[in-house]
Amino acid sequence: MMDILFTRLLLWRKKAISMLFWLLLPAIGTSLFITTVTTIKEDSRVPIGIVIGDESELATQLIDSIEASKLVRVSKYSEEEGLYNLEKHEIDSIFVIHDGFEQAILSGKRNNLISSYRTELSFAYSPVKELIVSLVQEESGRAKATQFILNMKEEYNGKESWTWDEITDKSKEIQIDENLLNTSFSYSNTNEPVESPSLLSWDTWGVWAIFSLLSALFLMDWAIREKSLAVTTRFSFIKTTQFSYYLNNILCYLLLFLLFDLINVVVFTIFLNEPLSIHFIFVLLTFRIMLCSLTYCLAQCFSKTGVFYGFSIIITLILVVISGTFIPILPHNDLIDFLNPLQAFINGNITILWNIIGISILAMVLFRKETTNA
Amino acid sequence: MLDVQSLVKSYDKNTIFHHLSFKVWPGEIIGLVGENGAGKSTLLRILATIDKPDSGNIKLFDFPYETNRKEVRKSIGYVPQDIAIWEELSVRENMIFFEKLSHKSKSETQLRELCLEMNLDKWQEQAKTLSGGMKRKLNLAITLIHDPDILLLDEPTVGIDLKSKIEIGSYLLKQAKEHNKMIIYTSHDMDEINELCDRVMCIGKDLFYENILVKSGKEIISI
Repeated sequence: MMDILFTRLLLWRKKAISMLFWLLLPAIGTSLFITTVTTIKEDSRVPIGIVIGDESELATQLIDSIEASKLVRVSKYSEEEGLYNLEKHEIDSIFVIHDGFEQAILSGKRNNLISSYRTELSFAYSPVKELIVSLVQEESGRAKATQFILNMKEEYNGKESWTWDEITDKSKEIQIDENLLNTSFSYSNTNEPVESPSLLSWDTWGVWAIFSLLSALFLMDWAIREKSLAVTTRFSFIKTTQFSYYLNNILCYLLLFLLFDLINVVVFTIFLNEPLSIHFIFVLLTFRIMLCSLTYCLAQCFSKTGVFYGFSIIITLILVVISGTFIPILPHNDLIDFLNPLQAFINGNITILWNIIGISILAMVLFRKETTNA
Repeated sequence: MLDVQSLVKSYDKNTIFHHLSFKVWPGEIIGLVGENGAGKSTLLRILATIDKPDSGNIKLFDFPYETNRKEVRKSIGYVPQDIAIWEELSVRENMIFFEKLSHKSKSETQLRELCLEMNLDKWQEQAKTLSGGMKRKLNLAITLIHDPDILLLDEPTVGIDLKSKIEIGSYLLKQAKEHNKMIIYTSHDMDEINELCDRVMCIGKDLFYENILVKSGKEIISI
């Protein structure tokens, strides 16, 4: 192994720059993609201004809810400041929460709670207004319900001593639990909810998987280039079998890939706050073994590197579409998931099936090489 | 000794060798001549264990090829017609590369001496920048790293300058006569064949080469 690693290092040294490019592509590509997407997301939020005329708890809760929305980017101003920025078209619109907002809500008033300003260029005014109106309705409904419960307690001398905050907190808790968009379903005979993968936490590694596939394919071009060289005739006379020679070379590549994968793990954990676990290391290891074996076998099917590069780009694009890591275009389909070698990794699972397929084909390819030259 | 008995090889119903038998003793240089496509390279590939005959027996130092392929390969040095070197590596790196994979280990000094014996002195130069003659010398030097007993050379001097041709020729002569190696090689250069070879084998149906050899008085191996 050491001798073969040494010989491979001699060859790697001669194309160190291109190799480094392809090895760093997954980390750099993923970081750039994630950073760009985050920036675009942030920039695409509608800038609005809020004038806080009421410092009450309810008003603060409403502002927090507006800020939590992915649609808007909120800046707090005084009314003059806000109008000045609106005139300069720095913001899309201004919403003024008037003094006595909480009182008005608690007394059941539903009109003139908030005023707004807009210009002829306030293109997002209508959806933002709808958003704020719905949030006000939500908060006022909650406040009225809380008030109603407290009134009932007093009227019927209830023994429970709930505070306003406890009731509103419980209300929010129920709202989250009952939200159909995020509900965890469970089978009737079990208590454990069926786990569904968290798409958000796998975004980074999903994008990385695509870049890794492309980089592994381009780095495996040696299998095509060296196959056609006269120098391979000499491999019939070396001290190891051809099976062992090529297997060790693939292992050298695997080690190199794993080294860079480790760097990627560190980079993503530190800079992109990706969670790290022992399970994930196994997921990554099996994914990398699968990539190494499959890309080598795929390269063996080609005799011209140019054709192989073209095929690599096409296969990567197909997997981008069916994986839905960059853009979730296709609806979820079990058969497509089954056929997609990246899916297990993207779902955060250990790659088993495609590893069995990859290693079996690899063994056959190497055995064929051995018997052809025996 | 290399002992070839009743070798038969056919390609698409065309018989190339029909019960070919001959022996080569240590210290001998055998020339293989014949028109293009006659089967010279095929014979070398069979003797190098890369190709298989349809039938027949080959023994190297009493080791039958059929059952001792791995062992036999340790004693074979095969120089293919195409230059089998890493173009992007230097002469030094090429030698080290194949030494690492060789049955016999050699120091860098020994590897350099091996190159210098053939007047291949551009140790640090990248192989792709070498002249044709230098590349042929490197091609041969790599084959000699594991010190083989038999050298099978497929047109080792094709397309190179006269000086390099003479240097390679005298090196082969030295290997055969001083180091007792068996050498079988193909060439179209009859002067070279006449000068270097102890015996010559004519392959193919064309008698052109045989007639030349008869005139020169060179011993011909009848097949």
